[in-house]
Amino acid sequence: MKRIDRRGGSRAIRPGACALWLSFTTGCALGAGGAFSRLASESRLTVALPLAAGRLDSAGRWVTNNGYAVTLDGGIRLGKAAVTLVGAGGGTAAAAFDPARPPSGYTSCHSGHCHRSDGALVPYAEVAADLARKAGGVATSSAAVLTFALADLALAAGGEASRSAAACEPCLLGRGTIVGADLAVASLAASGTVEATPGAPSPGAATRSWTLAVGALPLLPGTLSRAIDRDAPSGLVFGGRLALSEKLFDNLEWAGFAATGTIAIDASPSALTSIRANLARSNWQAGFQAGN
Amino acid sequence: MNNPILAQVAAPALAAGVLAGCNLLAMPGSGGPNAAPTRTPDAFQVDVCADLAASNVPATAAAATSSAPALDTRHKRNRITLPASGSARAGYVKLNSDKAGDWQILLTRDVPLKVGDAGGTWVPPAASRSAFPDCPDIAAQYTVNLKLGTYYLYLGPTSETEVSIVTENGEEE
Repeated sequence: MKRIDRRGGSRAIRPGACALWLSFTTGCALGAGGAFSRLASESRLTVALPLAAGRLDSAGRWVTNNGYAVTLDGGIRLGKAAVTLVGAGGGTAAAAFDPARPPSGYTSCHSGHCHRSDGALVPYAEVAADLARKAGGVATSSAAVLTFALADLALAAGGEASRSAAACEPCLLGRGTIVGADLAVASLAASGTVEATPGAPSPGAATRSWTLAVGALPLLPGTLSRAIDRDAPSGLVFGGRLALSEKLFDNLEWAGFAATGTIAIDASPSALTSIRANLARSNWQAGFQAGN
Repeated sequence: MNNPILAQVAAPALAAGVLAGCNLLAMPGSGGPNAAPTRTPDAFQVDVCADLAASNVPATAAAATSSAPALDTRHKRNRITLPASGSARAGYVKLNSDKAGDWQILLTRDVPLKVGDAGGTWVPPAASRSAFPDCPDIAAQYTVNLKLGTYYLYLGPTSETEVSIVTENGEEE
């Protein structure tokens, strides 16, 4: 059995945080010193705001789907991000996914995808993984939480930035399989201006200022499969990439806000709902590679 | 059998079962190695039928573009009531295109459709279709090439009081 010398964890993130660690196996209760791998300090989170060519106009403004051109003051600011690695024990079989019997939350499955209740089309693999995590058959639990401080980041339209993990809890991983990496971002804030393009209803003036403050963003579930066993590398580098949706401001009825002053988008429940729905369309991908 | 797709799939299967019981499988065209390949249902039509069955977003078309309701473009059935317009029925709905490229606009009634951009220029369809063996709920399909931005759909004039619309733009989200 390959074990990690926990006292020699100089490459692990914040070694002191690793004093407490949990086994996430169902059939193997690991004692002290039973870790099979360790989250490496090189673990990173990349945050991006990619925009398709048509989303930027000739003046560099961010164009929405309903005829508005938006600018950002400085960029989008995000609060602390936490990635919860979801572990599954290896003792029981996964709940079988049968496209003929769509799981709860899906209306029908065919042609390689399922129709989720909110209209999204989800590939079979993601539905099966989701089912395995939620519907029983495989015991899951939080294997570790990686946190990333993003306060110094101001994400411009089309921009991208990476940050190293600030902490992990625990940093040592027991035997099992990592089946998910769920991303929680504590907040989002931005400000800027908006103008109507020809044909769109005026927001009340030729140029209006706006502010946006969103609390906890919708949880973005990530699916992966990484066995943690005697063959796992002693160090595992986590890598995640969050691409905020270019549709963030789509469908906002800018003409519906109060006609004067700065528009506080989040003061309108319907506008905030629209923003949150658009944030849920962001793309989140996660994975591991061997580290030192 | 309420599901028309299941009915289409199940009918040949039942027939084959009856033939098997009568020892007629060896007859040409009734099965066996020389049987014609089973036709695979059109995945797109099956998709649209699933959307039609699984959702219902009601709205009433407007007499002017300025008050046209926006369609839900996320694989949803938009059940549009058509208001009176003279001796017929007609009205506008709005399509906020969030992706440049071909959009499929599917109607459950063969209602006349015209698509215009925010500047008032009509956008002719690149293709249209009226036969849907794998989703009889669809009456018409129009393919239009749209840019990012607002478009208006003018429905009518028609004697229909209602038409449902599903849009697809190739995005699985």
